[in-house]
Amino acid sequence: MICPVCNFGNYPGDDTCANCGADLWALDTPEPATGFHGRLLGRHLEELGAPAAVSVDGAADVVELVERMHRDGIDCLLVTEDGRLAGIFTDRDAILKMAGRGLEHRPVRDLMTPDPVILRHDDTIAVAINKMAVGGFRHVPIVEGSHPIAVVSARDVFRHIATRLG
Amino acid sequence: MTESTNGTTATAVPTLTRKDFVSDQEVRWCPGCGDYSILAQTQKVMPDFGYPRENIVFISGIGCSGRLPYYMNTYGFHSIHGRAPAIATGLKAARPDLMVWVITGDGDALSIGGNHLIHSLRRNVDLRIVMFNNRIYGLTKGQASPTSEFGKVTKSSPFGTVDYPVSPLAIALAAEASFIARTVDTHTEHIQQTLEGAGRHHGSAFVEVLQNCNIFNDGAHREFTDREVRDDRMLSLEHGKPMLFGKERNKGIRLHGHKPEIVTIGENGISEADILVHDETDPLIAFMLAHIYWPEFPVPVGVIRRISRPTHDELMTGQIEQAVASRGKGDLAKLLASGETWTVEGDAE
Amino acid sequence: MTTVRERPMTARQLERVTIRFAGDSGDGMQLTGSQFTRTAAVFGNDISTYPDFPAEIRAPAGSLPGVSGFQLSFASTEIHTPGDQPDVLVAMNPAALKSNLGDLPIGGALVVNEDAFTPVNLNKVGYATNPLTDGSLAAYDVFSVPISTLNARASEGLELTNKQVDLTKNFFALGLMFWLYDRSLDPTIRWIDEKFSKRPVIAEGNKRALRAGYNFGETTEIFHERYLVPPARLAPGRYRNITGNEATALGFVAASQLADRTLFYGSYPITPASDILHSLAAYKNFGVKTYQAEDEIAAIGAAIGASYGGALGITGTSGPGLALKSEALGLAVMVELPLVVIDVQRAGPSTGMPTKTEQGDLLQVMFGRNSDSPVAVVAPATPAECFDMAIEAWRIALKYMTPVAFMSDAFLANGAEPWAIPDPDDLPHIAVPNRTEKDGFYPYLRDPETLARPWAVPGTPGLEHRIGGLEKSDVIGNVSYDPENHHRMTVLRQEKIAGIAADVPPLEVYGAPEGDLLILGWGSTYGAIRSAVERLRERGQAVSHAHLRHLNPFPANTEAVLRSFRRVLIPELNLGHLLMLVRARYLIDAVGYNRVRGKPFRIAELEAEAERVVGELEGSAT
Repeated sequence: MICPVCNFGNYPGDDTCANCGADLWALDTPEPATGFHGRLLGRHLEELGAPAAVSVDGAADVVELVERMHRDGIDCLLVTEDGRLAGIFTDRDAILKMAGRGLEHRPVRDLMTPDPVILRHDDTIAVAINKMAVGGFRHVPIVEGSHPIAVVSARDVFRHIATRLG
Repeated sequence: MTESTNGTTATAVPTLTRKDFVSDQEVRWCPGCGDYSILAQTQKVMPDFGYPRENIVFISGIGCSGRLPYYMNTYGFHSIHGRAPAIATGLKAARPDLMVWVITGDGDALSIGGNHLIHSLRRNVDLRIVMFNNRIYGLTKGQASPTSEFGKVTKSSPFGTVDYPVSPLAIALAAEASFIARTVDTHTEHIQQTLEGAGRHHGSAFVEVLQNCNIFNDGAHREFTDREVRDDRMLSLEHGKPMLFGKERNKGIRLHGHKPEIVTIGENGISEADILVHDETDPLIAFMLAHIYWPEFPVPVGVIRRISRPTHDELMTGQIEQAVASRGKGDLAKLLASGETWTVEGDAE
Repeated sequence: MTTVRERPMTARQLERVTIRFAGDSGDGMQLTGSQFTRTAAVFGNDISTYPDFPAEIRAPAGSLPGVSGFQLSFASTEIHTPGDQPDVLVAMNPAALKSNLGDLPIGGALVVNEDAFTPVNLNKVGYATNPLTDGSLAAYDVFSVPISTLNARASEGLELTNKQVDLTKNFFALGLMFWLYDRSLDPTIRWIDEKFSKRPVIAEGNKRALRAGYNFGETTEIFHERYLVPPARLAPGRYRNITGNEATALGFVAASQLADRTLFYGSYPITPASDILHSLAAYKNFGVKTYQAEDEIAAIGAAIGASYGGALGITGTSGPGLALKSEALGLAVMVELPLVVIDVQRAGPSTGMPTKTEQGDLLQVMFGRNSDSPVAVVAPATPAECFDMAIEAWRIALKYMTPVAFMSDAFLANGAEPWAIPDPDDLPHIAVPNRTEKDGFYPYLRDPETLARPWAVPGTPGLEHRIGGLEKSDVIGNVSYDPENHHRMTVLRQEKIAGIAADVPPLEVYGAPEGDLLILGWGSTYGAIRSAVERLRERGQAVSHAHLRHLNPFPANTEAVLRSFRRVLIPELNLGHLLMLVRARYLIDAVGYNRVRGKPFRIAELEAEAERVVGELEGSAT
């Protein structure tokens, strides 16, 4: 095990670094999933109470959609083609892909993020957090088969954590 | 003392004969014991290896076989039950220049000594391990051994043993021995050849000698070793040659799929080309040979397996040489003062 | 929690301080302890240390089995133990506090990392309330420091992860302690720069933590006193810190050089002896051959084989392994080959407590073989002495062609003390020649003075002979069942060992050569006994101390020494092994003080027992 402090190569399982004496024990002891971690790891996404998704067809006009999002306070739309999840369109997509081009009328399928990362209801909260952290996005659709059911947002996750921190 | 492979010095070694290896001790095995024959052949082959007599060591365990070192005029160590391979490993590690023979028996090597046998073979320590297998405990007067047949009635098993025997060759194979052979106490030429091969082998050489204890287990191997029947009931192996046996050498072993079967040349269209050719380097053939036995098959004798790989003592020596080459010969003063030191100055005391 | 003190900072001089660092295994307590030790040593204090490793390989963070401790004592005088009790306990988390508080005396100082006293951590070890705030620590002088927070602040701006920053908090604690005891940061700073020369950011983080801890002590008002421990007057020379196991390994390497023979070490991993194998395995450029055998018996078997070939065959183990080696050790006695068996004793019986110390194998090594099968026995008294006794063990083994048992224990093995590094030229000559002369050679022809048989190694022309476990005829060396011969050989083997008594240094007495009470010890009880006797003598008690390094045979003057005192007290970490040997051998009514707790004796308990025994003498007629 490489000592994280001085980079010296130690034998696996060494308690202290043979070069600088740093404690290696704590670095390879697996932590049990107890308490808060256990709750994150163990609970399923349905516990988050993510709201039902708002789905739109791929041909829908993006200008109308942006207006609707603004009016109804929706920050994420699921885009379907033939009833199947094809992409996701969020306020971020709107900002990044429309800025500088004004309100051009285009089908939302041209601006959506296609083939989004998806989860199922029985996936755990930890998986959702991981996907968001790794992918850098704040929304993950929950599907059944290929039908979108709901959208989990980072906001839902934070709310869940906040209620359990106390 | 030099580091050459057979310990010979630069000047010529005086030619030794069998008599040089006979010690002054009266041989005390039971009359008719198979050990006499093994001893004679061992003494006979010793001169062939070119080692000076003082560089040859015999280490034995406990058992009738354990007496052998006393009858060899070399350095000898009659040690404790089952531990000879361990002692021999240490000797070889300290003195790679010596030729070391380990003399053991089926009880000494497979019962109490099983662990040490396995590990000395696994390490490929440069030893010749000769195991006298009489399928009984002779010295302690007749108890069953790990190679005794199932249900054997003895003093310690009056109702028959409830233990299954084990194949010593299979154990040697499982321990990855680099030389495995079997021979018979009364087949003098074959013993000689086998011991020669073991002696010349570089690495662990394991030889099972089917030996007859005429007092406590007479005739244990006679059914197939007897002069009249041995041609038909034993399979003499030779690397690269087909596995033929029988008085007319017209029977052989063939693989049917992966299973061995006995076939007769000339019957059912069998020709010599169908016979399995022995390959000393093939582990699957070795496994098969370790597991076939009379009466289902002829008993294989000869060299079952022979491969080449570095020995324990040469690897150990190699590491030392490498360490000296890369770090220089050890300096004791530097070693003692290694780590973090500080100096206390002399006081105006 | 800071308390404003109105008294100005004072500095008090002390003769001796004992600190115990305790924390999670991830808190770096071993490193902290050894750094403090080193600095104290460089400053000139005498030091003694005792690390207390967790017994489990891994335990969850913050749990009791995961607590790692390091106790050190430093002084302006010569000290012999790491201290009965700490004067100050540095506890980095609740688990460390819970498992160590019992050893802190009332009024002792307690420095805690208050940041670690979170509800979760408290809950892990069963604290219902926070001891830092519930008043339960009122009897102690508590200094509650937010070490984690302050440490994190010190590393602000550095490109270190949170984990890396947390790993520097032990340097904060170290810096604080350096301030408290007025020690320079320079040796540690130099050490940091050297060890982390390839990672300057880490080095900077560590240095900042160190300085932050020091400055915290300086600027905060929670500490009202600093302590000064002046340097001790140690003999001039070059020193290093050394543990018993390290000294043992070095001693055997030295012995192989002095004897000009290959060192062959056959061993099987066993706590607490494994480190000897690890050390020796690294010394290949000294020609050292190490062999990790498949079991304990193979280990000693291989060592015997190596000795048979003319090398120095050594095997090392602890109590359970020694039990396994009995038969082979008997073989070594019968074939009369030189062999050293190291026993780093630990608490037993059976598996016992593998990381705890004990002295329970003396009778085993004396008698644990079939028939009369004597081996010589030596026992170092301090960690550094393991070096000298290793060489002494080989001196005896080679000169008398006998196995020698080297009795160490877990306390010696892991404890450390300063060692005056010897010059190899000053070490004793122990080499013996191999027999080469053919004329008049017999395997058991004995040297008239030592009774040793000749060492004729394989490879020597003309000396071919057979040895083994069967009884041999005197001189000629053939297998013999002759009754008179067996008696004679048995007696000769006994006499050979007994004769060593004339060849070992006399038993020395610390204190007056006669008096009321002699405390007699062996092995690692040296430090506690010596310290106790020093204190008793200061109080005018007629108590002296003698410490055996040779246990079989005893030095020639042992009986005379023992009889010069009215009573002999033998403290041992067993139920009376040396006691039994002394009583049986000399018919002296010695008494024992026996505690089998898996821990070394405390100086105070030996003082008390000695006073009690002397008191009894006073009460009885002479």
